[in-house]
Amino acid sequence: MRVALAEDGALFREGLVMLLEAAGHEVVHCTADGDSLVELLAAEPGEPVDVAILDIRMRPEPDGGLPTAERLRAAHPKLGLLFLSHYAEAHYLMRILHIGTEAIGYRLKEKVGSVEVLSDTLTRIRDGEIVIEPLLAQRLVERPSSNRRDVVASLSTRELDVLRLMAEGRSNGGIAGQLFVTQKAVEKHIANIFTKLGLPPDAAEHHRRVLAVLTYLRSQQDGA
Amino acid sequence: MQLEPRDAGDTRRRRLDEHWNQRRDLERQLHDGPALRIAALTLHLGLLAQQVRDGTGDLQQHIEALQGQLHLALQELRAIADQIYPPLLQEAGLGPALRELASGVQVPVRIDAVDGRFDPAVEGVAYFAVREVLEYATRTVDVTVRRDGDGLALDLANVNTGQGVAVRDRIQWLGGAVEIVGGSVLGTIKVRIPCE
Repeated sequence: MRVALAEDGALFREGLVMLLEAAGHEVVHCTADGDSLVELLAAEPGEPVDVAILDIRMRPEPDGGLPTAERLRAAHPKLGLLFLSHYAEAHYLMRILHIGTEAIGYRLKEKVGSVEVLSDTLTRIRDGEIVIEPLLAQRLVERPSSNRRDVVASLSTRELDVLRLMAEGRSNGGIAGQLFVTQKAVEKHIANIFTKLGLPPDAAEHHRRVLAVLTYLRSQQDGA
Repeated sequence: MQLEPRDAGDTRRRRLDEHWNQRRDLERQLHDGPALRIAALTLHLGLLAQQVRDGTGDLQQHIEALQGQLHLALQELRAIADQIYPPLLQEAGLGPALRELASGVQVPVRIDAVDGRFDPAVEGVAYFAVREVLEYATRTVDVTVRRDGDGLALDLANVNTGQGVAVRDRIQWLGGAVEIVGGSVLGTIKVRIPCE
């Protein structure tokens, strides 16, 4: 895969380049800030890139990865975006999902420290999926906004598993594979979850549902 | 009821005690958590080196376990950083930081906060005042953050008003004032802190 990278910490940046190359990926561009990466990608349209990896906290301050991603998504709609951060915060996740809900990901820096996980994350993003740090998805399901707690507590254990995997951005097939059940069973669980949460069934469509589910878990308003 | 400013010398003494106790506590957390964990990791790596020499042991599994330990050390460092100055407060301000805080406490909390930013000291003091009050809350708390003229207006409704004194001690050195409205147990703590 062809990858571009913007990260201001030199040690982490060099380590990531080594791991990417060891995984057989080609690092096409590598910068210490967001603006330089946007310029490089604009200046060399003949060097196509599959996924851009962005640190969140870098220049332009304070959270340069986010405006950089907005500019990249506008200029190269097919380019996948992976945010790597020292913190997994719901606040940033919601901002990331407002940049896009396709071919986008958000993971903790120390959680992509193996060739398998790094390549799996990049492949899913290149293929158009959403990849969300499992720790963050789990925290959101375990600690929803206070007025959502009763409804979430009414879900069965299996439904909570499915909700957590939906919040990670997994497809129906991905959820079925993780839970060792059929895709049909997953569809049934999802329909039940959406009924219990009072979410419209059309929000269950794959690319919309991560945003629907996370907005629900975070929302402070009843019925919003 | 407007809480009278405490005698300046008395407040300074209490604040200093609290300040140094917190620093000692943070040092202890650094020592007992990530420092010990990383020290243990060097031993694990030594063992791993020996096993490589001997050609024994499951290298792959050991390395994954070590990466797991490094993740735990980072999580412990994040928890400590959160007590010094929450990164979300620094980068995104009171609203996002308080909403994140609210999701982690037992009682339901509603946050209504303006988007704008205040001075770092004002945001820090307000954040830690809310955090302390929420630790003692027993029912749904309403937290409101507004800009009030040339200052920050923070209302904590449905809280233990006995906490008002602790809040006043926190904000007094910034020239802030605390007013208690309602009952002697449950009521509203109204905080005003002047800022730019």
